[in-house]
Amino acid sequence: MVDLEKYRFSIDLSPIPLMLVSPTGRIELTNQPFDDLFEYGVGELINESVETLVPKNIRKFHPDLRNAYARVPTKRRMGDNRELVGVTKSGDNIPLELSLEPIALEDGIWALVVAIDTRSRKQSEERMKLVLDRSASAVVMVDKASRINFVNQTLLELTGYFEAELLGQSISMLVPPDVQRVHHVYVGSFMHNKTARAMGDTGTIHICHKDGTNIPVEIALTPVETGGDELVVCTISDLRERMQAKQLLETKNQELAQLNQDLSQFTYSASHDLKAPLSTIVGLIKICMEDLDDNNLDEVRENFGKVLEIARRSGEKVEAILSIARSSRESIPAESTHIKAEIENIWTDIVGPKSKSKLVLDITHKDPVVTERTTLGIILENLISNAVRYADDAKKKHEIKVTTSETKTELHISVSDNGIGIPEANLERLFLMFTRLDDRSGDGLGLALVKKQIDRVGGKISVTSIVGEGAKFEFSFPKSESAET
Amino acid sequence: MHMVIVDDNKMDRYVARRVLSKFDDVETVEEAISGNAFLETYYSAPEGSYESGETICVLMDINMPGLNGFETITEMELRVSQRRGPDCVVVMMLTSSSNPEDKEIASGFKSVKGYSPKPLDVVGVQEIIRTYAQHHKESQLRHAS
Repeated sequence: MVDLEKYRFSIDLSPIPLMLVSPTGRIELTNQPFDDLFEYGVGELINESVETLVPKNIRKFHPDLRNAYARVPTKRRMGDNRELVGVTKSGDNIPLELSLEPIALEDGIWALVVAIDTRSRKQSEERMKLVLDRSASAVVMVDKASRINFVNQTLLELTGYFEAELLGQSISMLVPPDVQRVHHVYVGSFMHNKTARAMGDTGTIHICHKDGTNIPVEIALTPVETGGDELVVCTISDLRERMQAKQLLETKNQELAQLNQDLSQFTYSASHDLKAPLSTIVGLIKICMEDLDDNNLDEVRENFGKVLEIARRSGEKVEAILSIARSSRESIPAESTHIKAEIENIWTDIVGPKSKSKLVLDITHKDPVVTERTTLGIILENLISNAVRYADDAKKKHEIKVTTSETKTELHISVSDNGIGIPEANLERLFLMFTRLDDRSGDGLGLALVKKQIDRVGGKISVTSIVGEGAKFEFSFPKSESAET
Repeated sequence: MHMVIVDDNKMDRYVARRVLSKFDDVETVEEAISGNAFLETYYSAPEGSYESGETICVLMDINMPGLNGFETITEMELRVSQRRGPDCVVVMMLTSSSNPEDKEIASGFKSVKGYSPKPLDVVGVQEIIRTYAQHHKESQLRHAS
């Protein structure tokens, strides 16, 4: 019988669960922490086979493993990451880390077994992984050799890889191909002088998605030392949303700046256009007063007539400006509209009974149409009166053609003339407010109003013209699907 | 002195003419209904053909359809350099524009000597005559030397 007393003493004193196993696999000694771990009473395991503590599925092979160990005894140290499972008295499996210390005695190789319950460690690892997985930032951990040894769920979602595809691989898998070479150098210098820092001080950095696209990111590097391993934790934030938001903000800013400029331009134009007739009236009335002093009454009467006319036209102009301002927000109810009749009425109002101008109609839609009658009226009136005003006196006939057609949801109307036409340089400014492009221009509001109304209802207007041949305005205008009859 | 009113607004031309008619210094008053019409009448001589002549005083509106006042002056100055019309020209902007930018642009032209608000009144004409006299004298001295 081997003398085990010297072992018994130290085993009993140890706070760590210990067990001494004979060359035949019989449990010779355990301490109380060991018994507690496996839920046995004090000394209850003595003389039991060590296989009692081994999970059923490997219990059969365990003696062979044990014999092999006895033939080639090696120290197996803790922390080799060998995950083993032990079975408690109640049959529960518990994760263990075991170390074996061979002790050569005269009857063979005994084994001193140190068992450490890794359940609490496992739990905190699990918890940590859960926390990292839920983290909004993608996390990837690499070892000294730049091999990936941890990724969280967010990173997998960001890069499109499965965990198994990344673990053990080089971090360069996630680096865009065009910067892999320099990245290598950066990694080397970081590993050499590890301090926590943000990556890419020189500009936006990207990581490479599985599908090859580059994703703009921000990466913080944190060196970590754990259990003798030097690791680097890379915390990666996806910048796509932020960049999109930034871009959106910039676009909006530009739009606002443009609007602001438009507004001050509008204010100057409006104030000028409203002030100009007042200046004229002031000038005329001063003259009238002088003429009154001179008893020049005929001149006074004539000039007062002109003052009245200017005042009346100014009033109309203010109305026109107001209707443009209102047109962007007011909605007009659709009503049953006979477009052909509308056009004919507008024509009569504009040209009067005896006119050189001739109206040609090509109506292919079916009246009545349910649409915004008054809005359509304003548009047609402006386009037709322009067409009449820009007649080419050099031509014998002045002809204005209005065509209509329809789809289920839209009217398509064109107003064309054989007038003097519009120089190409002017086409772009045609629809701007207060833009009077030649002596025949009105107050520079008509086409601006037309455009605003068409924009409001979601239609489109375009113009084509050849100088000397004429101009053609085409627009689309929404209508309700079914016409009332 | 010879005045030319360039303005698309008939009433404004009428008011200006009536006010100008009270001044003996103003010998003739002519009108152009647009920038184009003005250039056509006064600056359409063949290049290099215009001999130095009388000084004209132009009252130029800014806001006109077609060529506006500034575009008209730009073209006029070009044609002065090509000797296609009078080189002695005093331009007074006559406008109801209250836009400070307009005033700034006006001050950038060599031939623009003054800026007068509409409607033209007696004080305005006195100012124009004074400005004109000063520049007329200067240009005569220049020609004499």
